[in-house]
Amino acid sequence: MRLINKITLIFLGVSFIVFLIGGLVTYKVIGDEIKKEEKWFLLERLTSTERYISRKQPKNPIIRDKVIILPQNDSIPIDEYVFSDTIVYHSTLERPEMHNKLEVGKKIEGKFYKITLYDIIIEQDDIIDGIVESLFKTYLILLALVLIMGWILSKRLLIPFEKTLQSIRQFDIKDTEPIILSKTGTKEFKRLNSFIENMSAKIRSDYQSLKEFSENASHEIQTPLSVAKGKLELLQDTGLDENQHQLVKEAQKSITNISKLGNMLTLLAKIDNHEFDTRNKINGSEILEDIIDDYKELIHLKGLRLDLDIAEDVQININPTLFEILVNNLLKNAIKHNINTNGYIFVLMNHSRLEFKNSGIPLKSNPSLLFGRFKKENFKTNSLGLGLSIIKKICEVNNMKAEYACKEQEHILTVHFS
Amino acid sequence: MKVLVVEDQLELSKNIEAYLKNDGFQVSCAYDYFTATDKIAAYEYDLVIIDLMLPDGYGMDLLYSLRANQKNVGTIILSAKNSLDDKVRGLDAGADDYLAKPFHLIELSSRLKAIYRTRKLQGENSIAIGGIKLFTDVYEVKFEQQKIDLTKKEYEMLLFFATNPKRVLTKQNIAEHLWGDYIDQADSYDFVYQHIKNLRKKIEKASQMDIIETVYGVGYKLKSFNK
Repeated sequence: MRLINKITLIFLGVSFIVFLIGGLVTYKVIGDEIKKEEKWFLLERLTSTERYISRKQPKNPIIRDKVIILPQNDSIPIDEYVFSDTIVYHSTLERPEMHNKLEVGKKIEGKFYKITLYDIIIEQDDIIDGIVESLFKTYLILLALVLIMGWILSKRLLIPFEKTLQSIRQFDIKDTEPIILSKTGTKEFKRLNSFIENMSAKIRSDYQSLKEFSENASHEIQTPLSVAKGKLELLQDTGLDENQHQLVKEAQKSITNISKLGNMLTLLAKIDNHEFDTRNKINGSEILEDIIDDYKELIHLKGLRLDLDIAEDVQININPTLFEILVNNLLKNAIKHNINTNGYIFVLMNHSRLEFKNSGIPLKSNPSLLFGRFKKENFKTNSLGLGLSIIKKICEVNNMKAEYACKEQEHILTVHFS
Repeated sequence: MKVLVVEDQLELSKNIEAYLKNDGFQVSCAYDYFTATDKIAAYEYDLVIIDLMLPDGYGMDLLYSLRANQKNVGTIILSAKNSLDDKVRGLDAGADDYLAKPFHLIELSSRLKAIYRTRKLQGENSIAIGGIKLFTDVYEVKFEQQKIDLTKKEYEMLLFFATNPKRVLTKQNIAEHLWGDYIDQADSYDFVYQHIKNLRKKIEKASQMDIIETVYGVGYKLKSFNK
């Protein structure tokens, strides 16, 4: 929900409560005022009735619509005004109606009279109706005004904010131009903008140093490893016995693993740093077949059956280097994690997906967990546990989806092209 | 065989120097671009090993100038970046071969010898082991005029042994040399044994000699022959 809508809603809710309370207050005030007026009106009529009595001095009771004058023989308490509500038949409306009643004893020209006056009450329902109607209309006007104002204000007030958002959206970590945000007079937006400007500058400089580090890391790590490897080879030439040879061999193996690990981590970092962002339309089928050709001998040596179902001319929009790495990793995976007898690899490629099916040992863990870095099913293998992370990362940056399913002895790795 | 090693990493350079000297190469080293151009201008080398990343220049430029001036020098480039780019550009620029760091010295040495054979020894080009002769220009193996039929892999394996006569070759060395880097995906190098066995059998059948000896737990070695 947009900020302005939230504020409007809260405002309308609060004003609704205020209007409710206001309605009650209005009702009370108007009701009291009307009551006062009615009393005052009855008293007024009493004066004219008194004048009438003193003029006519009636002997018999006079009963009219709304006036009852009862001459009294005995003395009665006088000047005690008793107001009360009652229901009397209304002659013109021809139905019983609520009336105000004033009863009072009076002594006029030496005689006692009991005077009763009636007047129709303005009904509470009518007051309520009136108040509700007027308040409702006022509320509607308020609502309309608030909505219009909100719309206009959000357009005008939030322009700097929208512009800032736009700049953030267009922020490219690889740009070197500093981000420039439009000037604003609003304090909050000023703070936001200066924060974003500082942050983006920091992010860029961090990114730059990270990139330089990862680019250098490969070279810097590989060289000492090469040196160590060379020393071991020189050592091998010095006439070692069997045990010593074995030790050297194992040391060499570890060095090879470190070297591979370094290469793979650097690759992951480089993908993360968007160094493979350029994409081309490539012929996936050709590249896939070429790479499979490279591995045919190894597949044969491992005694695996290889079946292919590759559609011709599958065009993929991807970075060519990344696609090669992806296919290499998928294929290596299928070869490495296979079984020794009656193993097979089935490669399928069509316009929507690339799929590697291979025989293997059933998985104990959840297949999707193996996409994590250094997650391995079997710690005994000399696998580094980065192959699947690289596959996943490549898919991520190219809007593709990698899926890993395992059905007992069959492992299926599928890459869906978007 | 005179070799110039252009490599800025002192230790790596020393490794290469020691290993190649052991193999009978005459080795000199240059640790930067400037010295390298100097030495190339002053002396004649059969082979030049060039690291692409040098402190004061780019190895590729060295390659271009070598190709422009001295046509008959064998070159091999070394690069830390195991990228196809470097490899393709290097080979396009006229390098004879390419090795990505880290590499096995035995691989470097074998490739240098191969380059040397194709570039320098164009006429008489054979390697002898005992009575067995390898004719590297026609890929043939003969024992006293009798041709021994070998598969491509068996031939390459025999050549690998022949070019590294005093060395113990591990199964990994053999596998990587014959099948390329991607072979390290194999869990074991036992398939090498099968090929060795076939090679031994064929040679033994033709010459009544077993020329390869097994170094238990380590690998294989060519038996020494008095020439």
